[in-house]
Amino acid sequence: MDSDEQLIAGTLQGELSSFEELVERHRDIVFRTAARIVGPTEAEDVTQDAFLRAFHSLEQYRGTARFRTWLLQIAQNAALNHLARARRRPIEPAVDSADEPDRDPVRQPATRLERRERQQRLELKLVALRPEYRSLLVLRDLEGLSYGEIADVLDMPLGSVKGRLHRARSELIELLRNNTYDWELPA
Amino acid sequence: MSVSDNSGDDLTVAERRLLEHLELLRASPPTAAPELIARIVQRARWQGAIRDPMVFVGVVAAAIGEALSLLSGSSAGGQ
Repeated sequence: MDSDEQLIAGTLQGELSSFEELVERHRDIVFRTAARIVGPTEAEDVTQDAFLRAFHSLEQYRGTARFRTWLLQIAQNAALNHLARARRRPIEPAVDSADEPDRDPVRQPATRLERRERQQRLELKLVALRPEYRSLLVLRDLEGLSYGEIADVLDMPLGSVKGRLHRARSELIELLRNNTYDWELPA
Repeated sequence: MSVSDNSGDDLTVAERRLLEHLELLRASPPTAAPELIARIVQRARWQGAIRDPMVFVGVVAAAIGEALSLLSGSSAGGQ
C-alpha cells in the first residue's frame, strides 16, 4: 500500500486516483470530526470543503507533520468558519442511527430506544459547548488523538491543550450533572 | 476508530465517568454517504480543469484594468 507521501506526490503529478485514495483513507475521521462540530447535515459540505482546500494547497504541505494532522487542521478551520457563518442556526445532534441494524442480538427494542435517546441528549450537551472546547473533546475523547497531534491541529502549545481540555471536560460534566438521571446512569 | 487512551492521564472520578458516557458516542460514530468520495474527486477534477483558464482570465482582466486606469489617469492629467 502506498504511503500518504507517495499519494501526495502522485496527486501533485496530476494523478487523481492518488487523491481519491487519500480521500478514501482519511474521509472517515474528517467526516466524524466535522459532524461532531457542525452537525451531520452540514458535515458533508465541510468535509468536501476541507478536502478541496487540501487538494488546491497540497503544494504547501511540507511534511513536517503527518498528512492526517495537516488535513484535520484544514477541516477544523473549515468547520469553525462554517459555524461562524451560521452562528445563529441551531446544530442538530450528530448521529441518526435509529435505522441502523443493532449488532447486539440480545438488546431489546426498548433498551435500544433508551440508549438512542441518551445518545441524543449527550450530543445536545456536546453541541452546547463552545466550539473550541467541542473540538478538543472530539479530537481527544472521541477520536483518541495524542496531545501532541491535537496541539498541531489546533496550533496551540501542549500545555494549553491539556488546560483547555480539562476545562472543556469540566464544562461538559456540569452540563450532564444538570440532568442527574443521565449522569448517574451506567454508560 | 481509535479509542482515546487516557491511561497516562491523571483523571478525576468525574472525568472518568464522563469518558464512560462518551463511550456511547464512540460506539455509534456518524458515517458519511458512500458517494461522498466520488463527489469530492469529481469536484477536484472539475476545479483543477478550470483553474488554469480562470487564473489566465484573472491575469488578463487585471492587466486590462490596470491599462484602463493608466489611460484614464493620463487623460485626466492632460486636461
